[in-house]
Amino acid sequence: MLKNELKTNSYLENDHDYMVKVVVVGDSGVGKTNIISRYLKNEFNENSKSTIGCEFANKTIRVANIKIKFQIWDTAGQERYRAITNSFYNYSKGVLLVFDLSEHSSFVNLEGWLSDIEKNIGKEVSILVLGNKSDKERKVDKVELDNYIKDNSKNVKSD
Amino acid sequence: MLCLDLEYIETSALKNENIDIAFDKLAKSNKGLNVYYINNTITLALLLLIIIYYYLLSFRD
Repeated sequence: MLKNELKTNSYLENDHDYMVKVVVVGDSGVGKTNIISRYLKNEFNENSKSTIGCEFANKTIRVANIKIKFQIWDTAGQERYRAITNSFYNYSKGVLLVFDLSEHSSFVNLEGWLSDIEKNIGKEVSILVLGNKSDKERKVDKVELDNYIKDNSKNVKSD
Repeated sequence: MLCLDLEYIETSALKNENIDIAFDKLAKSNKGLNVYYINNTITLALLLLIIIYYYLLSFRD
């Protein structure tokens, strides 16, 4: 699905001012692929299968009169692909860290994903945490969530 | 030293809620983009100053 987007968009559109590589990470089944396909093509696939390895697609948008080309990398959330996923962090300028609001374990596992981001990317990266599936019954407490984001936003670690 | 500055948004891919906003926010908060934008602004300002300088010089003759 994303490969078709690559064919239609990537090589034909070179008219961008700035390129942003975005890596979308998070546990398996949290909805990473559907978030990307919704953003790129306004499509949602209820029977979406687990991503194998990694896929990428492009989209050009305009912000403050600058044409920004998003290179969006959709990664596999399964543990067995974790080593491959780590290699895709290189040169990325943004990370979408996705968890499932209806699955508490995916929220708990954010810690592991953040640790991977710390190891693989420098500080020049923007991280946006997405609590996906807000349409479902919520299993992650709002206070717990607020505290987590607050704590990690101020978290400064020494190497 | 590594500082992770996190922001949070709730989304629903099924209902198409906040997906565009999330990517837009990521683009706007991109530190590299801000540097690019500042550099471009400085370059344009310098060019403008040079043009004004030569324009004013032309009145001396």
